[in-house]
Amino acid sequence: MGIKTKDYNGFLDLLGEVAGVCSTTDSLMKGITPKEIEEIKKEKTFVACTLGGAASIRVKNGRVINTEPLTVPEDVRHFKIEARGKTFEPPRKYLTDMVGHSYRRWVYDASRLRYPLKRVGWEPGGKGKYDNRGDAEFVRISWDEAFDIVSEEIRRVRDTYGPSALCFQDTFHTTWGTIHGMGTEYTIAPRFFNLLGGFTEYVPGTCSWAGWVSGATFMYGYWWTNGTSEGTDGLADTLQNSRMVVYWALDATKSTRMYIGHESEVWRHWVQEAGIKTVSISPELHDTAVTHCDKWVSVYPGTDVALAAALMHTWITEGTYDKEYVKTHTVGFEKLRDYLLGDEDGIPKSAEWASKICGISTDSILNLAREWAAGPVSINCQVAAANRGWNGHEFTRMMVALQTLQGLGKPGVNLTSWGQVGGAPFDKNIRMPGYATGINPAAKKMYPNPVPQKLHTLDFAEGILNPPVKWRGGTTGAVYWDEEFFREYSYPMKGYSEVKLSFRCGSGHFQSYSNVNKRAEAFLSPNLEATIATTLFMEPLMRCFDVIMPACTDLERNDISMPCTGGLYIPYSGNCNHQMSIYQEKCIEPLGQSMPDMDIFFNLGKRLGIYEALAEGNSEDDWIRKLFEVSSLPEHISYDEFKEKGVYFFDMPEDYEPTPPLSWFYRDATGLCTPSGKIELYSQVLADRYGEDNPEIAPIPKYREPGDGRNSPVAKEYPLIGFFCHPKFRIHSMMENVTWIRKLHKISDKHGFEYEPVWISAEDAKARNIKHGDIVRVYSDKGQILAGAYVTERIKPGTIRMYYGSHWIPDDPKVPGSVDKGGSANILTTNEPMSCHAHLHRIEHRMVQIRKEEI
Amino acid sequence: MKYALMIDINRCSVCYSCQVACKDEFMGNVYPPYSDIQTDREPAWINVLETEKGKYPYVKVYPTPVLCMHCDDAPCMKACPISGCIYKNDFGAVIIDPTKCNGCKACVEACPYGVIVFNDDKNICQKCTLCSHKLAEGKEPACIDACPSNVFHLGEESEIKALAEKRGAKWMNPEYNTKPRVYYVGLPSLSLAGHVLGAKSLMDIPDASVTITGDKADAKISQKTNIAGNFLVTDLTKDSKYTVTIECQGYKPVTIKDVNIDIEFKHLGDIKLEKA
Repeated sequence: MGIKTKDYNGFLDLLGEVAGVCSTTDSLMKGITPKEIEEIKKEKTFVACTLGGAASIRVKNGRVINTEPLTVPEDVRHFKIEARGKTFEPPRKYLTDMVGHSYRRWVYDASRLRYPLKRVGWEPGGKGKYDNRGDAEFVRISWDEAFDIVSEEIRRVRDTYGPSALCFQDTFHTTWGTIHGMGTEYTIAPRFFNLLGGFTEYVPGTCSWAGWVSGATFMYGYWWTNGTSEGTDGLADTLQNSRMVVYWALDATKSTRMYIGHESEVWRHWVQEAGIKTVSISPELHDTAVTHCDKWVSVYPGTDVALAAALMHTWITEGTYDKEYVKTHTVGFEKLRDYLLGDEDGIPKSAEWASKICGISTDSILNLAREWAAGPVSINCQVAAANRGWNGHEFTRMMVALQTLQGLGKPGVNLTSWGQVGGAPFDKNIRMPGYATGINPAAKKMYPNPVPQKLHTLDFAEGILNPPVKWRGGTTGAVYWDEEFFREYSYPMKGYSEVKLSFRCGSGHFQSYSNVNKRAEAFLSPNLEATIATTLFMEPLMRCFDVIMPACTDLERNDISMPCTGGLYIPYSGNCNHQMSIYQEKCIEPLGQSMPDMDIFFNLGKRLGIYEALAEGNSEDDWIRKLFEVSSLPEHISYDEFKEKGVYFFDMPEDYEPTPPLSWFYRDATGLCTPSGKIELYSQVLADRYGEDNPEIAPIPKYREPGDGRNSPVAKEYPLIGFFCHPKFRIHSMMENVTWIRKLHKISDKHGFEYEPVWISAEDAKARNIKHGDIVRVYSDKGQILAGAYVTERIKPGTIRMYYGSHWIPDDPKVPGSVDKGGSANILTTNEPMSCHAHLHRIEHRMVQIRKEEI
Repeated sequence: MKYALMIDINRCSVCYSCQVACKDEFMGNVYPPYSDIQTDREPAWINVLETEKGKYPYVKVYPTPVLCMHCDDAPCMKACPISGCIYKNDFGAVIIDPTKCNGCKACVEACPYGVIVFNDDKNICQKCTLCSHKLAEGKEPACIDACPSNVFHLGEESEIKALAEKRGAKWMNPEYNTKPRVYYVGLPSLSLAGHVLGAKSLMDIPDASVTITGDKADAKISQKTNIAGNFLVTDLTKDSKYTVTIECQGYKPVTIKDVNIDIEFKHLGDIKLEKA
């Protein structure tokens, strides 16, 4: 008999434990010596690298007591920025956020999976039953059984169908670390599958950077940073030289926290203290606007492009753009000018024109345009938000065009250069592997994936349910180049099997991608003969899996890392106020039978005969030491001392020379990674590919009315614009189970069930007879969810806002489209690509309707 | 040393670090003689309220961390039937002795700020201790240590009182007459705001003089517009009718009469000045 699980508030109370403090002390004390017990009883403080940045973790009796900010010693030489007669210097502590401060609650949550599980009725070999996938009926198995079953199933599927029948799915963001982190396609898991003969790559599709990688890149290069410009010294450049800072579609206070904590919050205070004018452009009055902005320009979601066009129209008609720069640093200005002035289509992209589209006054647009032209402006806008919705790639191209017309690279004129990824002064000579490099820098041999077949996240469900599927571009994740964009893909490829086994590591990933219902349907389908997962928690989506193995958190194993440094994704760092490397010493024993991700793969590797190649004879400590050796650390500290201290703070070099973003291009007027080496306001690459008249992408950036937006036929049934941004209270879907955080934002019904909030304007709520705290149904053409109404004046009427990533708790997971009580906003979004050019997510926006729900 | 606290809500960006750090410090942890464990479901002993005033698109949000005010004339102390159970300690903090409290909840009822919570696991009443266990070690309270924005200013009481006076900090709900040790900068009050710009240029006019006169006993209030041409006058009264005059060199003055502060955050929108 299996354990029939009971659902409470989205969590599977699998082990019959109640929420609260889970004491591991008793089990810890068994079978160890009195001396060891004495050691455990002592209080010890560890330096940890959490998903909210560096922190001090206090442990006593083998249990985490709390998290405290990590102190930076007085003798560490850190940066100082001199600007406008003031000296700006960061506080001598690492400021983690609600994530770091609730780590203890997260680690010990009752939904932690402590034992391997197998779904009742599932049998290896495709022989079991599939009709109860989704029912959450599991039986506990031993690790030996789990390793045997999983390794045999992997072997069977590979030998029967070929290695392309295996699909490894990384889910972006899991626990923090370089050797155990399972965040990306460069970690231990793909190495494991590559050694088995390869696998079908599950292409994430650059979800958060979609518009940057497919838009801005064609204007100014920066393929290696996904289309955002270099982040070096943007902060000092702004403080010293900018007249105005525009937070464009960016709630920086919220969005900069991921893996960093609040390190950059002080920078935004500095901007105000320096007397720099600040503007927020967003449909909502977000936290950054509340605390840090002089003005709120409340445009409709997806219309930022029209506003940008109107700003440039104003500058051109009033002659307030940098004519000399445009002449020397760009190509194709005339074509852009003709479009803006209306010479091309008879419609001048004037302030009057944009005012109707954006839903703001003409005066406010002219005010912004003229204030902008009066002095250098720093645009703070980056991943997520407007770049991954309607007009995603046009948004990023317009941002480049705007700054180009004002002399991008000139002192104070920068773009995406501080505040979200990087920007603080930092020593670029320091080498440190990160979560995106995995163990590779320390490995003797690397193994490429011999299987060329891929399956894009946008097409995953369709690929599993109704193959074949075809698409173009959008495949490589971290590093694009223009040819890659035009490459044709099909699934299954000739001579390669369809995917039969899905292996997933990490966190809840359904909710972070579009069209959750369709994705769930694929996971419930017997077309997947085996669905295997490693997980920290029994998240609701775990009910779609056949074998589930418990991984442990980053406090339960050793590792080495730098806070918020990918090592590869984010080559230019400067996210934090102090550069430090951390020896992530194990603070507590793994809970239950959970084990580090790497150990899971090593055990499977032993059974599959690839362990020697996988591990190269290295233990956990060997890998950490080898990564230490390839980093800059040995120039400063011995390995033993590093382990002993837990952290090494790098001094800022005394002769630090700032290199403000694109200042070199301002000086040289050439050298960008574009065919001309200049900023291409008109892209010949795009013109050659799509011609002049493609309705979805032109050689110059253009505003386009979305075909499923507020002026389309869809709006008759679904009149409200839903916009779904990166969550304040989660990292994608992680931390969703932390009760301390849930209490901060969830809205409860009378039975105590907690709903994800939906922000709705007082005006729209009144029209629907909805009051603050009511439970409402939010629905689109793709699905329906329940949510708690947060009635506010802080959102533009006609618009609703939700954070995506809430847990997926459908009424009946086996009935496609059944209402989701978890309030997972991506149930409402579409998996149609951004455009014919960008086969990437556009999940920020969807037209929706709301009605009051009687509970 | 006796402490006092000034909270600058203009700097708070509602990140909730203080609130979560309080849970982390106290849930499941015991700090005798000041506190027994906080339970998982119990609210933190500091809570950030997001008070919203005004009407779209002119909205002002007041993120307000609320904790025990550590009153010098504390109603909870008077209400408690057990001798010596609620007392003032050497740090100026009001402490409920977890070993003496019998869970009668008289203090919960008595506290006008509503900051005392009942712990039904332990059958005791609990609240912020100003992290006396940390102060005793020379450390900052957990919430303050966790704040990324310097919202909190904790210090010796005369020093903080002087700072509070300088910054115009006030007691929350002074009508309760409890002599709190916590002062706030930027609490919600009846306010009038506007955005001053050139009629033709449509550009912000900083440093314009804004004078507001009420028809009741209010004093004349003068202010300069900020770098973005904004002004914000606080602490007005409901039944006054106000006259707003805006003057700036090179521009014709503008006078707006009979302004009623009919909502708590009243915004006059764009006020355009013609060139003189």
